[in-house]
Amino acid sequence: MLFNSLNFAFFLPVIFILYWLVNKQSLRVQNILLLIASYYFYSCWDYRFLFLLVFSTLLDYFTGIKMSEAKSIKSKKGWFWLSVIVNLGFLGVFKYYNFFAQSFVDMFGHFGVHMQLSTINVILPVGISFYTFHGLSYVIDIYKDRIKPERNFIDYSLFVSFFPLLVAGPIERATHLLPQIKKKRHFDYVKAIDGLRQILWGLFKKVVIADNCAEYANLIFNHSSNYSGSSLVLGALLFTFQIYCDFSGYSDIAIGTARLLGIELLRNFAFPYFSRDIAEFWRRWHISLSSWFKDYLYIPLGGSKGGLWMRVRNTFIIFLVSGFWHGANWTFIIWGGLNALFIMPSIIFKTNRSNLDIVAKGRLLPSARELFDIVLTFSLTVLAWIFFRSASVGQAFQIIGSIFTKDLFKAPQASPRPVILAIIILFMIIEWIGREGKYAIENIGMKWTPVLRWSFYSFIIVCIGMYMETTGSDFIYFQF
Amino acid sequence: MKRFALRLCLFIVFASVFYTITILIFGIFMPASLAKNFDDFGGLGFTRRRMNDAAKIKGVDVIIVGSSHAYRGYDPRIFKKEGLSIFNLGSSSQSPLQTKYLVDKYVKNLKPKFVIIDIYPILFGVDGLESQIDLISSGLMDKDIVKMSFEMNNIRLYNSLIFGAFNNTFHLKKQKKTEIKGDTYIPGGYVQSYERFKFKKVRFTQKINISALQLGAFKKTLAELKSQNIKYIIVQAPFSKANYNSYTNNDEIDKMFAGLGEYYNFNKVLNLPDSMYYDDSHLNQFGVNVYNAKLIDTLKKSGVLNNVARLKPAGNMKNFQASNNK
Repeated sequence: MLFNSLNFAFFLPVIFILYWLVNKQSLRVQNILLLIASYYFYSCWDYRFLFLLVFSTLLDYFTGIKMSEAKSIKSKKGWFWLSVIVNLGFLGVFKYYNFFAQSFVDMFGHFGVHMQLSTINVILPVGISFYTFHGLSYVIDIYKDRIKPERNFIDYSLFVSFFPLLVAGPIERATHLLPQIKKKRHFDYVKAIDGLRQILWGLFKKVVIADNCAEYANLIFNHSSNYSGSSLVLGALLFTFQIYCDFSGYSDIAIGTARLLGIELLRNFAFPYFSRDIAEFWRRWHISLSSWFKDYLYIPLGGSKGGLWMRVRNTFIIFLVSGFWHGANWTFIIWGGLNALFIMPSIIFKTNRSNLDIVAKGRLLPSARELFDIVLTFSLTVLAWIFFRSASVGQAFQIIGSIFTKDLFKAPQASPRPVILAIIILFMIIEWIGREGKYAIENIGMKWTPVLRWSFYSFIIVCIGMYMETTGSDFIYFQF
Repeated sequence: MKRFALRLCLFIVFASVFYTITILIFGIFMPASLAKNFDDFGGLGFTRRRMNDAAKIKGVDVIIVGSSHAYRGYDPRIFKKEGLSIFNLGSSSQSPLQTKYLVDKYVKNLKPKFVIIDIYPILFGVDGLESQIDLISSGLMDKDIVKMSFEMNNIRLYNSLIFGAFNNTFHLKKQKKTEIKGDTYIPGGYVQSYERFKFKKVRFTQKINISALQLGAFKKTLAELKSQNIKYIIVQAPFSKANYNSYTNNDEIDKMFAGLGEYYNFNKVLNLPDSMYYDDSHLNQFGVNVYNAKLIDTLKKSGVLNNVARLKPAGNMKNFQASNNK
């Protein structure tokens, strides 16, 4: 069930009404309802993988309890590694087996050894990377004695499977979400309205901006050898907007939906394309994953404490792993490596925390220096996205090679209709105006009259109705 | 919670009014290029006029249903010379879903003795959206078309329905002049064109896919005709060789349709030059003259038109070929 489908438009109101109706009964009933809804939501994709989700939940639930009850460090370690190995094992089989098998065959092929390794035809279970990371953060936190294990199976299952975040995050932490699940929720008018507003904005980003950009980005990337340099630049730019609006749109809908149910999820995006350097970009892009890698990989590796070499090594490790997390393809690994290279000057010169505030805070326009930094960072990001989007590393190099030709200054051969380009520009203006909020339209219109404010929201609805891409598409991050 | 529910209901009403007004503004004042999901063709290929005529006529020998191949491919004047009155219910990109709707709607009124179902197989694989919008923007707005639109579930249809409902009620806008240059409407639903094929569209080879939904609608139409004892034939009017040969599974398609009734594929019967087409998909008047003569001849020989009308004897192809040489 997609967030941008009619099914979800029926599902959410039904769950919302039932959820607040049973609120008077008990918290337990409310959580059971949410769990059933979450499992139903997940089984709409493929009910067979529901068993995998339930197995993963059971595994982490029991290993969490066993770790806390372990009488020796060795036993605790044993349960911990059991959970980690099985969780990563599932991820490895479903997501990476074919990649490793093919890479081995290719590698030995270079040395003249022709191997026959059979690949398996597997469908990647939706959300496996996300719920595996949920579970891993939980067992790691218990192993490190940061949290106590959750003994209520319903509550724990809900933490793993809560439907707004189940298939594409935000990747939650037990310390943040579990206490909310265990606490009685009260309906809050302001939060519910805010949730609806964020859902509206997320929907606009997905179905208007991302899906319209996707149409042309797909066309250009799928036939990149037929397109001129300027078309390829346009394709890369369109993909840059597509991936941002697709994923942050999904996150907005997820966060807004959870807020309607009285639950606050972690923020996932904070206007990353207005970043002034790559370090700031990574503090603002897919925040829940970046912070996961920081807390569970970068810091355990030593973080930035061990001198320059350690910082450089650890930075490369987390970016390469982050790239690999996205998918079993060298394009993602190179994308991660490129980002590591881009961030390296700020790691070496320790300037990676120089842009912690919001750009041009309190001002309408950025300074010339800020604008230059934003454009430079954005350009580097676009360059990296070419690798992320390309089907192979070869294609990415072909695209980059074709961009820097005389064709670069010719009119693109394919382009969305002007009205769509105008809407993208309008969208970026709204994002800029609203960059001090949690999402762009959080605070826009708060001082206006209700009629004007409602007209603004209705205008967004009109844009959705008039300009949404009707062929529809999955969210990009479902494949991860 | 009550406050939330009340405010939400109020907002839904407000947004609905806002949305409707915007659709009306778009429909009346804005150029079509500004709206992506709002098509107000006003009926391409004279659909509105054809449907108005269909509502007035009572009783014909033959009706023809199908896509633009139908309304550009069967000239009532040629059939009339043979003693047959025909009415053409073709519409742009008409898929079997719309064919079923039109047969259900007009057969009672037109009381045909015989139906020629012109198929363009590629339209058995489409969602039927373009044709549905064409019908709505031609003024067709009834319970069945609304029901069909909801089943098809697409925002473009909903936008067209909103504008169509207001336009039909308040006559907000005159019919757009969207007809193609050189086209002339001929009473009986036919669109005549003497334009000749000027440039060749690049065609990539592709397989014709048949959607279960469209095939199901097609079979229901056949069953409906059978239940009313109306004879029918399934026909594939000729289109350019480049277009026809771009489909890789033509034989498979022929086999399928032959299993559904008496079927003629005139792409395999006639070998018309490009000069008899007005584009790579449609016959021009020169091609129609030849094709219609051959069709009538074939029907006479096969005897399927027995008891439909008092026909002239078969074998008068020469007259039409002579007129094409002028």
